[in-house]
Amino acid sequence: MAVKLSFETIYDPVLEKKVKGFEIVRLKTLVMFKHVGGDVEIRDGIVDTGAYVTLIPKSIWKNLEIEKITEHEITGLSIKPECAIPVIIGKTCCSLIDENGGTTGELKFHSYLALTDKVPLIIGFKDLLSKFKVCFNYENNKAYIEVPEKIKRGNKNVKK
Amino acid sequence: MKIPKMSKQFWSDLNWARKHHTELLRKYRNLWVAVVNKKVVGAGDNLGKVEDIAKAKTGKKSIATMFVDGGEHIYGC
Repeated sequence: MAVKLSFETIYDPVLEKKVKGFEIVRLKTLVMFKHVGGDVEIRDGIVDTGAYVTLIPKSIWKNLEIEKITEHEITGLSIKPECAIPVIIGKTCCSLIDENGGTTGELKFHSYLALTDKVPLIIGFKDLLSKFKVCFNYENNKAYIEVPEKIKRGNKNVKK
Repeated sequence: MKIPKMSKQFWSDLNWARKHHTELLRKYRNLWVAVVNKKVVGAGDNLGKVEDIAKAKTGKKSIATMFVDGGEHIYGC
């Protein structure tokens, strides 16, 4: 079983004024979340092999079953305290899926639950990307996650 | 968790948003957009509000949304 990923090639108008043809490439996935009430939603997420932990915007996680662990702050390139984003470290569940029915199955994972929506949904390593073989070849426009048999079997017994 | 059957329009709108990220960046940089019928029907920095506006405007329950990322979002710990 494989879950297809997609590339997005973006030309940032701000950068384009400075460097012509300066493309930005993002790797994207579809993420399926189940609400406490049973509704299911599908979200567009960034696959970030540089992210230690998955980051979830508030409007997405507020509807999910969450196991809150502690409060924390994360920073980006700038480590200034005023640039920090307050988060809750917690556990929740999701599946990475594709349009053709490919799925990782339900996975329980640690995540940073942002207290704002001013961030994208970023899929990071901890308990998610670290579980899979992630393959991508931009030149050939091919990207996918390989789902090992043991994970597929284990997903049937995910404890919530 | 079973993958729900989404409408063709949902997939088409999501793919449209991904494909038109560059154009969307000019107007909606680092904002959430809701797309219906290949048109932006709501935008802002609060995803919940953007979805509520889009649902009220279109009457649709499942709406494709995307964060129009300008490439600045890199987080550490």
